[in-house]
Amino acid sequence: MGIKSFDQNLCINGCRICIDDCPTDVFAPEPATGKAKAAYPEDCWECLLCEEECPGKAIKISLAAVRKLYYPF
Amino acid sequence: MQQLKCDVLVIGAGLAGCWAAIRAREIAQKVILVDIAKVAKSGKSSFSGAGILCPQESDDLDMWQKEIVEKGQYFSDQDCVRAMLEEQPKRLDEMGQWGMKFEYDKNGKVFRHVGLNHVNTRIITVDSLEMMDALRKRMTGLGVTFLERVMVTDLLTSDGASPTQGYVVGATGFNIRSGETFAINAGATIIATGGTGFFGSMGEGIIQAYRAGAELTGMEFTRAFDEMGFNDRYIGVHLNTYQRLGMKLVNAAGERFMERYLPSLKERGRREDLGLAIVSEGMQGRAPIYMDLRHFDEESMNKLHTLPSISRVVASLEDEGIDFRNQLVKYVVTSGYLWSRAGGIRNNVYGETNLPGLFVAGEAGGYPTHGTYSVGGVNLASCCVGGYRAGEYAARFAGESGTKPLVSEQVKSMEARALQPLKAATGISPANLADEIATFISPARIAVFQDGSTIRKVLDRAEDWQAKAGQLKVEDYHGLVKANRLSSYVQGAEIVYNGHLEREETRSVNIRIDFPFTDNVNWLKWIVQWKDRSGKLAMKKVPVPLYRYPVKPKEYTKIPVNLHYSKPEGE
Repeated sequence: MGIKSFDQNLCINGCRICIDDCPTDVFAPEPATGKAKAAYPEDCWECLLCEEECPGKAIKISLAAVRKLYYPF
Repeated sequence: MQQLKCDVLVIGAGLAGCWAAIRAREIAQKVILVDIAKVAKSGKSSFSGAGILCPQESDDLDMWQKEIVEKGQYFSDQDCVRAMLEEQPKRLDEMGQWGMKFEYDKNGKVFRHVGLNHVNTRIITVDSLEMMDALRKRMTGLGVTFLERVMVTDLLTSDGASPTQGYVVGATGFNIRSGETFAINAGATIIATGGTGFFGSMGEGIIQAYRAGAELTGMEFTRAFDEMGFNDRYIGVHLNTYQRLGMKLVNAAGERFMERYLPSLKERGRREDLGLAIVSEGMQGRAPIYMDLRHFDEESMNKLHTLPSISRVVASLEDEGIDFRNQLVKYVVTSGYLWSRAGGIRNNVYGETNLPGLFVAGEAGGYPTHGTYSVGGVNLASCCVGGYRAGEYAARFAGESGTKPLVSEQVKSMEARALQPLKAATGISPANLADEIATFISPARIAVFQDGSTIRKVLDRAEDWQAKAGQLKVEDYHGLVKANRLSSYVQGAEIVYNGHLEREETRSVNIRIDFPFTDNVNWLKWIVQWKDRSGKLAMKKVPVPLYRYPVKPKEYTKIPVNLHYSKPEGE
């Protein structure tokens, strides 16, 4: 699942912490509002960094993998 | 295209790359550290459990070396092991001075503990993100130039050829957001890009070096199974903490099966041994497998909720309804993805490769300290000492040789190659090709219990994947990262599976059900692979120079390996 929710109301305009820090470049600025959005949620690796660092507590991450998993049996 | 020039270029800002950049900058004037993400929030190190090997002057380092080399099945470069053990205390002290926090015991000494599977060796556990922050601050203070959100796509050479007969003189890459392209001209280049297996990394740094003519080694110790998780959907990170605190694994019948596979270590065995046992149970119809923590006392449960790194994960899982205190949790092994463990660019105790001007540090160099894979904590210690040493010798190399010019035709053709998937009118999506590969290599007979016939099946398909990797089509620069990674990955698959085919024995994760023994008569040899001048994969076997190493086997015999699996009748 990766990004469980991103509450734009809680996102602090122009803070950019998630955009700057995300190791897999999931976030991008929304040109109209200057807030962040999850532009590539399919690339979340559930590292929890954004959830932890977001000053507005706008992001909730689930450790359920967003990428497809494969099994040996 | 932006052209940059420096004495030392470091690619990859995990622990090894940061250490390399720090040491290089202490010697050389201009050091560029390029990373695909943000320095100190990138790579495996920043999100590791951060158990670091912590030797001290009072320790018997001979015993430490013996343990590491024996557990690495005598495949370690023992010069590297010794350097790591002797120099790591200094590296830890320095990280402490720069702000990394240690845990202390009641006597005021650094608190060391026994890692999984350790006998003589000791590790410390630190907060990985704090550790990386300390290194970032140090680099800022020294004036290392950061180039962030830039993906390196190829190495550049003094003769403009790949593979080269000359020097490595820098690298090309692009900004993964703006698309701006770079050609970085360097006196020496250090690859510290890690292996495969995290944040979508596909070993591209290793394969870029291979394309430029670097020798690789240990690539057959790559496996197509690893990542474990819970309830078929949660990725299990920091699993070693559950192991260390005493987790149990039980099969569908409620049996604690690890007793059959690893009678003494049981669930404290190496991750690949646990994975192997779980797959074996599954193949014999005894799945699902569960992790059991219900016997944990309050102290262990508390640790799970307070230790750095793991506590974040446990809180998140509990938030989703996983109840470690009262329930069995389904425990799965995933497959279909090539996880490097002890393979990479061949290098020595100076971080040198066979190509002048190219150095390597950390997992991209396959951890020469590790052999086939020894004890936990060696990886991060290798990153500190190996990074420092690569930084030092790369800076000295650049000082002696100067910076040789780029060949502009090569820069142009490398740029065009990297951008091709964006320019293509039609083509295959990286996600589709990645899915095709993963689906093909994930079944147990290919991912785990291989033999010559199943390895050849993969090699037959690998040609097709390489052809498809040449026809990728993406929509934006974010997608271009995936396309460039995937085309490296399919080249890597050919190298890995040729290595599996060559190594006719079972050793570590090179599992051959047709050769169920570890052959210390004929196979105490490293396989070395490189791209020859005609573009073909070449291979040679190099005996491990045990004649000059202090730690060696007592006797040279073939040791049977019980794989708990045999080829099905009539297959």
